[in-house]
Amino acid sequence: MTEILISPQLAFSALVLGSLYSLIALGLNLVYGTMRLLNIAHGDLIMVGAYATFWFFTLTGMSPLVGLPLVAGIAAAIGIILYFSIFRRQLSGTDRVERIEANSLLLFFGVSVILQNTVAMMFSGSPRAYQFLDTVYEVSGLMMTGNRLAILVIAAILLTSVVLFLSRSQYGLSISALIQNQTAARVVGINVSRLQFVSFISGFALAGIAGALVSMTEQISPFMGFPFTIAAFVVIILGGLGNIKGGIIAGMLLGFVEIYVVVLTSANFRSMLIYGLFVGILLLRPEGLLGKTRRH
Amino acid sequence: MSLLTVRGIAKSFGGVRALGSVDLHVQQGETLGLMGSNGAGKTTLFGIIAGHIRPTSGDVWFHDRSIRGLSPDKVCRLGIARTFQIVRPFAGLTVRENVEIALLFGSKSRDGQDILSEKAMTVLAEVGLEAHAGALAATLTLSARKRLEVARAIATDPELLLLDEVMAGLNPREGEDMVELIKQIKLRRPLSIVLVEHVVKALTALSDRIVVLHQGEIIVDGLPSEVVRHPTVRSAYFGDE
Amino acid sequence: MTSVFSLAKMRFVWFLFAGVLLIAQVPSILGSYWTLIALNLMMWVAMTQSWTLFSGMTGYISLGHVVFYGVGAYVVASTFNSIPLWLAVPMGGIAAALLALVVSLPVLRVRGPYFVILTFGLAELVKFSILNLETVSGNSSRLLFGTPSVEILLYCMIGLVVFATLTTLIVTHSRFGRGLTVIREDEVAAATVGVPVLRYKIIAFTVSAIVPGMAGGLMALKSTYFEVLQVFNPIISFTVVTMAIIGGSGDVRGPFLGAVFLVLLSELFWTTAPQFYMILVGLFLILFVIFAPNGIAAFLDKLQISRRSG
Repeated sequence: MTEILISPQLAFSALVLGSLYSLIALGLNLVYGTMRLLNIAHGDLIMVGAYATFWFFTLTGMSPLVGLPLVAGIAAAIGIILYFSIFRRQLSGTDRVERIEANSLLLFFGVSVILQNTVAMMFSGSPRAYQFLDTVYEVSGLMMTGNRLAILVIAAILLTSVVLFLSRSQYGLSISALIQNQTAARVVGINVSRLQFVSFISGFALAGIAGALVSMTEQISPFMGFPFTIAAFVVIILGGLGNIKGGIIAGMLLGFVEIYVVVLTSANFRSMLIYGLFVGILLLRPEGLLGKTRRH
Repeated sequence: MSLLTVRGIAKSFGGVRALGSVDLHVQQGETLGLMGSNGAGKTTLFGIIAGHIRPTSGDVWFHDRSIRGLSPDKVCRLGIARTFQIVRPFAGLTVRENVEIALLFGSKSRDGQDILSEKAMTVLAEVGLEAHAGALAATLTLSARKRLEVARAIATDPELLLLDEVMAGLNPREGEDMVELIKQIKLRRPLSIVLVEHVVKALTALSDRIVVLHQGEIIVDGLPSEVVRHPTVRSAYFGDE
Repeated sequence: MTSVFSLAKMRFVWFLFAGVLLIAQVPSILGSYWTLIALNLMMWVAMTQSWTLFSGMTGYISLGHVVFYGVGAYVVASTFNSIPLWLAVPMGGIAAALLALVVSLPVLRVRGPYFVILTFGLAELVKFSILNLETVSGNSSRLLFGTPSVEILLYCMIGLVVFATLTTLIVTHSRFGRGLTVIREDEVAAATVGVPVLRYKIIAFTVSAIVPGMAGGLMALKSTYFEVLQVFNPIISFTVVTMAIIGGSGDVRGPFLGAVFLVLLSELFWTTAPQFYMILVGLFLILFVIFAPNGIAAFLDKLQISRRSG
């Protein structure tokens, strides 16, 4: 048993899953941090990214890696449509902040159902899969499939670039400031709505990319989104809502916890674990963060 | 024997210390003024007394009974009412319904609708809002909302009334009206009041005694005339002299 | 003091009871297919009415209502051969209420959108826990032989609808109901004027679980089949919320309007294109949340007003 536990194989899987979770959480955190919206359709954006990749690959043979920008664009486009048709209106309403946030949840829920069923209509409800970068590489006893390696590499690149962007570039620093304190950001002259828009779109794009990556190694189905959404929420709450770096660390943590727990118990317990964590974290969050109307 | 005793109350939010160690007391029938710059901890103190915030340490006694940790609704039913710095009317209800709720839940009465409405109108008359009884609270001006806030508070039949910057946002004329209103309320009802204010004129006009909170601690406690002359207060409030 | 609204509401309620009596005639007049539809409709009304009692009145939107339904179904299915049904179904309701009571203390301290996703997560957690329980005890699904006829189930469900509607009516006109309404307006201010916020939320939440608990038991009997994933399906929660929003979560009429709306819609599309139906449902939810958050009921009220002044 201990052999399995300390096997580099397991660690590699955990690393891959963790980096995926970190990427997914990053997208969610960007949207939440700048707009205080909980996108429960996030997992379905991942699903859309997965299907888009699948479609391009099976239709035109386009490599998922090459298609990444395209898929990101599709996800971003969905974000643009949603932003202008729905969320702009919500944000300018005069209702109390909590009411808007709860309403937004319902809206995202509706979006989620629409996405799931549109895809189900287009592709049928049964799971699909494709083969890509299947070759196994062996590095000092560690077996890695090319696709998992690609996931790790791409996720790592994206994560580092975004973190650097947010902490080094002028634009990125403005976004970080916005996440910290919206009122202060406005006072300093930051164009809040433009940055919100950019962050919103980026969050969607990142989800799409995550979906593309997932599709390389997992079966896809129109309803695969929910578990990812829940996992993403667990991660961002663990790491601190809006805390970009915290989310990345928490994502890695969850990846490791999940892999090792499943090995120790069973796959059935995985769902219980995720939802248990989800419920537990929401219940235990320090009082100060709950119900307080954030200063906007 | 004090009506309200605050002993050693301290509160930290994360790493930020909002209140150091606060001791104060309110005698029955007196009006205590509480002043301090923004961030001095005044609203936090109110929040602790009213039960919205748990203190990090210290205790609060009301009539020799500890009220630390009691929920806000219990504190209200014990006889402490408060207004909010940023007013919180029940926007979707009419002005009269706002007061009816306070009567229904905060006072001892269990009246039928008709008597309830009458009582509500009486309270509204006290604050000069009878004309607006049927209007939705959301449609009121700031000054009217502040008066509604006061009406709701006194409808719960309190022994102690905590007024949190009730003058804020009012123009000088409205401010004078509010001072008058509070004076009238004091005459009509056997109330003790703790009054948090920035407007020094209102404080000196209404308070029997003033306490000054500075960076989470009480630095002065005395008669209005003394406090206004106190050197620390003068430098903190009126600029260096 | 009667206003335009209470008159219209009372009239509506009389209509409803007449309608409900009519529905009770369906089995004898229209046969089994329509009886099933009537049963379905009544179930949705009961579920949505009970949801409104808590979520509509306090503004705490629950996306986990299905958990009570599932618990009730589980109680009935697992005790099918040991306990008489007239006992098992109410037990399902009580079990659901107990679950609500037990989780209410920690759960109801959470506000706003966090409460919404928490309820969803909770329902899923219970689902997977019971799933594990069933797997461990060797049941992948349960078959129920010798269940009551659909007619009897319909009458029971009508009873639930009447119970739920009466409860909502009584509550909305009580002191308790007024307290719930101001909790929705501003919970902090409500506590400040003496409303026992936590206690009221717990009571409303617990009571709102009874009807779905029993409805779940009845529907398990109708399908003669119990399978965890089906019975704890989050789509049920989603449908209930959508019906409440479309119908209007402010008063007793809403659940009826919303349920009829969506059931009609599903009758049109479900057999041919179920996904299209779901897309429509999602669209309607979005449209109503943005443009008509108080639902059809509020729209009807506006019509009343304009007709009177016009």
